[in-house]
Amino acid sequence: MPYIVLLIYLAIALALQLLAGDFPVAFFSFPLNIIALLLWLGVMIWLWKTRRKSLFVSFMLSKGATVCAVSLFLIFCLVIGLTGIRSIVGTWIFVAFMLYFQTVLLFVIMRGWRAQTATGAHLGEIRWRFLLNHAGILIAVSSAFWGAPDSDTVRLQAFRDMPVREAIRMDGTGAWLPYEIELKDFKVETYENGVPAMYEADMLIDGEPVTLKVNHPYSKGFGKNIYLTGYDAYAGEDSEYCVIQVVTDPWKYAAVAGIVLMLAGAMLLFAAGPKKRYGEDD
Amino acid sequence: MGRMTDMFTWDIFIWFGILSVVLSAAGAVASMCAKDHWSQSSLKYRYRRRTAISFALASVAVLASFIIGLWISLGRPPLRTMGETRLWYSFFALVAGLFTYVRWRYRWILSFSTVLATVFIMINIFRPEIHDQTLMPALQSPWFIPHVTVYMFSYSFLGCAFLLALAGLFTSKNNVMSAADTLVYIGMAFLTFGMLSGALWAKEAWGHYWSWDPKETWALVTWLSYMLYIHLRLFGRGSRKALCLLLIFCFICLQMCWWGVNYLPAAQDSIHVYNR
Repeated sequence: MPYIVLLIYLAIALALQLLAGDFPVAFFSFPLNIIALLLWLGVMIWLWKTRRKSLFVSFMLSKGATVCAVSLFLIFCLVIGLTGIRSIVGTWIFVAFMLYFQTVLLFVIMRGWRAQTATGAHLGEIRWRFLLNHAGILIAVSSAFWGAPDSDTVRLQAFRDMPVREAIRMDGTGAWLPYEIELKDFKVETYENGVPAMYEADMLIDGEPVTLKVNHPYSKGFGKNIYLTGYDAYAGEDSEYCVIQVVTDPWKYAAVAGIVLMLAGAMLLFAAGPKKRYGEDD
Repeated sequence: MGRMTDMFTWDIFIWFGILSVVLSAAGAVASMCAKDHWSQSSLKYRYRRRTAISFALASVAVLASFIIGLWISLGRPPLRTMGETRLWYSFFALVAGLFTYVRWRYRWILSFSTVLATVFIMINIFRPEIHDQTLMPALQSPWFIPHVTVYMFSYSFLGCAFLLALAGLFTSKNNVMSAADTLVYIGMAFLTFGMLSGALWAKEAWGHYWSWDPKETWALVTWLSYMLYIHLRLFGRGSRKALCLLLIFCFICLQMCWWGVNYLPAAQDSIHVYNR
């Protein structure tokens, strides 16, 4: 029965996709995404506190729900990997699935973060490995999911001694930066065979002199980073411009927190290994 | 002193490489000779284990001395060319094998790390012309070495789990699945390090932790398929045959991620182009 409901849920998302096109990500930009996140969290925690015996909660906590969550995620990734169609992640059905995935994780964490007695009262010690691995994934995935509407990537060509503000998004729409970017000097080092070994650009960003290099972005305030992504490869050091990418992602700090928790969890995975199973095949 | 350090070039690597492989193989043989059913406090067990560890340590020391010598003679850390990277692979494979043997006493692990290290040492001996291959700017990052080496380490463990799963399809030996579990947990830990270090590096180099690049997507496919295996095992679900087949599927996904994506028509716009 719950599996049929899950199927219907995903089918509705598929129908919405066919009727309305991709999920309206931009509509959920700040503060709507925060409100939706808190609403989701609130309802799920309320269900956990008061409706633990309900069909919904017991399904989310079932082994089948976890296996479905991992398997469906695997299938989505396989489809993206085999077809190369990345835009699948912007569809209603993927968004609906990710909400299901996070819901399963949230319930599993609420139940399992401490060892339990048969009656379900929280008495035992904290299960660190379980908690770090699951909470890490939930935080990393959630920051990408709920933060997507607030993230923005624009590119611009910065010319020598010519301050610019206008940039362009990946979808071709224009954007204006609240400050000016200007190329002052450009250096390329090449190997003997002519392959570029290193390139760097001396820039003037918002009046500040900044040296940009690949792997060395410049941090421009909360959640904003500026990257050097390219130059006129034919002109080399005489390049009249370089390509600058400005990434806005205020949720990146949450993503790092999730990643750090997962790294700690992985260390415990290595250190402690699998649980001993008795009476199975050994 | 100057003349001493100038000796450390790739021309003399063959001697260090061969010596290291021989010592490591000796350690592997000694560890295989210390049978699991022997008492761990028995004299013969302790003697063979100590012999194995000594040989493995000597093997690591030989490679380490070459790396240090090369470092001094180059006047920079030897982390730039592909040949130098392979030198570190072989070094880390030996270190990881030794560490795992000391920690968990798996007697097959030294043989495995020896084979892995030998492959990379052999490539460096027989393909010297690729030592000069250059590194594009995006790869010049402190993330490069840890990102790639943890993946190599992980792949080696998961490769071993794959061999066990193949064996598990045809034999009914009892402890195959629990041995596979241990390998998968170690492999999965390092797969996670690899994937997350990749995400942190991607943020620094390209601006986003995750952009569904084909290589990233297949890394996630691999990670999720092993995740599925771990959960099925925790839940006690799946027949032994099905679990073995799943492990084989996982390893096929891993191959897809490692080199298969390079041949996938849907992945021709990957930004991970430098390893083609």
